[in-house]
Amino acid sequence: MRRFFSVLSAVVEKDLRLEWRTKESLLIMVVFALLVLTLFSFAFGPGGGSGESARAVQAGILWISFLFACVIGLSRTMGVEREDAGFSAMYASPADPSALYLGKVVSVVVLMGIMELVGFAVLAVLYQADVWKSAGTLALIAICATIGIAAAGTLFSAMSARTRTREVLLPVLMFPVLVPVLIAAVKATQAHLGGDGWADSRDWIRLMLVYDVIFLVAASVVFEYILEE
Amino acid sequence: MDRNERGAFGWLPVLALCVLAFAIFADFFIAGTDRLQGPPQRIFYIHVPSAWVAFFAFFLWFIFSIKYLDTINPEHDIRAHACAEAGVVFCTLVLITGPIWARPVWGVWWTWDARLTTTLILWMIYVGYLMLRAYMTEPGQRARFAAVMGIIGFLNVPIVHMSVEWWRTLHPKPVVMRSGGLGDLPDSMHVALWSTLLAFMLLFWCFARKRAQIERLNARVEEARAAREGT
Repeated sequence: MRRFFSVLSAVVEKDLRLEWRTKESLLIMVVFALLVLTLFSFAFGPGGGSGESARAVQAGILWISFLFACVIGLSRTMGVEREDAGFSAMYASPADPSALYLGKVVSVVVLMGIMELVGFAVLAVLYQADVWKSAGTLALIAICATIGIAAAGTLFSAMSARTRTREVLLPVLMFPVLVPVLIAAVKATQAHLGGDGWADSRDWIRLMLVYDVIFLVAASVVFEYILEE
Repeated sequence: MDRNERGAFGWLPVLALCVLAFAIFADFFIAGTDRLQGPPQRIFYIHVPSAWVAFFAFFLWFIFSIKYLDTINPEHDIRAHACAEAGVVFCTLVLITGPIWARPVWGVWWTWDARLTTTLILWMIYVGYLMLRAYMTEPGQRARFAAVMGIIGFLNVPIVHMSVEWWRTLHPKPVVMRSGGLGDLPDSMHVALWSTLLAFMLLFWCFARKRAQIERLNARVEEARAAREGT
């Protein structure tokens, strides 16, 4: 068990150090998310305030922009592994494949978490969304959704990184599988942007937790087949 | 080997076509016209059996994917692929016949009902799987990735169904769904429904077998090519 966690933390440390030195993925994720947030306001109108429909639009815009931005981030983190023969190294190493997988998931969650902090702040400024009143619950929702996105995304990006088309296939594989997370995250965020609605969002948070557990377990089990050369 | 296979199941396509011909006759002439919905209701005999076959194929796809990862026998990968590809045909049929029926009866082509949305997502997962296969060249890796996709896709569909159901129940349903109690159907409609289901099952079996045969030949071609390049 200690070995498992030392492998996991080694992967996280490696990924985050690489990111700290190059700042490639994070920067492009944040900029891309901002861009999508801005573009949506042109597409749907300014949509500010805290009315029912405005909140629905804000929550939708927010999670769609996070989802799009994470595709880019995931492509980068797995592209690095492919280019530097990381997959071969992982396969050759005696480390538990599920520890390697969970390490990757954690580093993706950290990167996405930083991007999401910026995203929520921008939402508050550009759309006058009330994110402070229930910041704690929004953070909980974001964590649950991000784990789900990272769990499915890490698995599928490890696959798509090694297809002939490289990362192009990732959204096609990933988005249908992430439908439950997207629905739950949008609905829960919508309920809390106004500062109320714990009763509305409780079931959605539960759904995301169930999804997270199922995907983390299933993907950890099958990840060794993905690493195999 | 292929010649023997053809000999043993040569009657299958013929049988499927005969049953299909009877089923089409039953759908139009044996089954009475529905009093409430009128003639559009007849598409139900195509729609419902295709949906059952599509979900059955999906289940087989999942089973063969697990079997492949368990045994690493390429035969299971071929079967999983054949089931997925034959399944996507019926899934497409469901998605085409559904709106054609819904337009005159519900008044809309599409509604974001749980069953409709789940079928659409199922279709997208099927297509993603086939694209993943198409974009990979190394057979062993392709088979492993495809099997993983088969397992994850299958686990995902119940969650999609649940989430869409919750998502939609917050809103009033735009139309009244049929209660769907098969017990209410008159006998003539039962004849049409079950004969079409039998015809589609036989067709699915034909398609999947044919597809598997083609894949086996493809595998032999790939092998031969690899051997030639090796020497």
